[in-house]
Amino acid sequence: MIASVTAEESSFDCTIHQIASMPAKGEPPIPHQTVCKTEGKVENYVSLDGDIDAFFLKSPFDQFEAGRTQLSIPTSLISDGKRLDLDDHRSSELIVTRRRLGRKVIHRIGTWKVLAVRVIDSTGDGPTKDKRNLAHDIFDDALNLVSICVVIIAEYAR
Amino acid sequence: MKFKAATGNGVQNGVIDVTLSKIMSSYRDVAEARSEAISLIPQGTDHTFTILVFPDSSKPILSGAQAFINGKVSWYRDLLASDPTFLLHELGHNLGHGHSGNGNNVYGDPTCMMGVSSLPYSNFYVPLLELELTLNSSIHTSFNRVVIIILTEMMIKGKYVSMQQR
Repeated sequence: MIASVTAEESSFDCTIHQIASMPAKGEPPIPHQTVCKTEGKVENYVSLDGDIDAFFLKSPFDQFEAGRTQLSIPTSLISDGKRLDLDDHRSSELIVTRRRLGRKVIHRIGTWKVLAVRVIDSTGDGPTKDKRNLAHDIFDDALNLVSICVVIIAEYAR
Repeated sequence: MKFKAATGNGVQNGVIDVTLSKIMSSYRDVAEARSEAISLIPQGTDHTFTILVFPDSSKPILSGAQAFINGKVSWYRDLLASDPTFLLHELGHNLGHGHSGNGNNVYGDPTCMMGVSSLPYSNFYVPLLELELTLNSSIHTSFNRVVIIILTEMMIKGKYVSMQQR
């Protein structure tokens, strides 16, 4: 039976993102996660389970591009409000795929501002480094993003 | 390419504090805590990339550091955010790089920032000469050059030794 979407059914519009990890010493590697999340200040997201490559082979694009490929998912396909099974045959029939419109922003050139956020929980437990020391480590220390970028600039100038 | 500290209301030297509504251990996963943290960043803050630094108590939900590939956000457990090799590795993900692996080991390339060479503790054993020899063969040439610079500076400053002892 082919499932169908009623005109009234809402959809979850989101962009596919992949999360990559680097474990701390002695901790096991974490597999890549693929999620589809809304853009903007408040993140809503679903985890994409199943064979994403097989799913996209049936789509107009053959493959997806993290941060750029968008899905429009009927909310009835999302289980627990958080998971989407791409192996479910209804997924390839009902989910609309598209690419983000507009020019692709290339982050590899130019000057970019970085915001470091100290996340503190409700009990006041926060990162070890205070604001001043964290800023020093990331922006002011000799070994930081700013000094690293000098190397990259030199690379582009070659 | 150049990075500089963000500016905006409440931002001091590129750093801002946000306070979550719950105790860290009550979040079901890091995505939930990350989403709330991002929502708490004041409107009008002028920045492109965001580095979220969680307290060490986030360990049950956050192993090491993570980032969106081709995205603008990376997040770190506590002191890992002060480690330039972790910063650069995760930033590499934001810039679109995946891991540099070898066989079944996704981190198996010891010559590249996006492989194990970016792990600061036990994997900086790779001699500088060996890194230099691989420069032209790696697709992550820029990152490898950065590794050499960082390594050299660390060795000069003695920071390399202190990292190994951590």
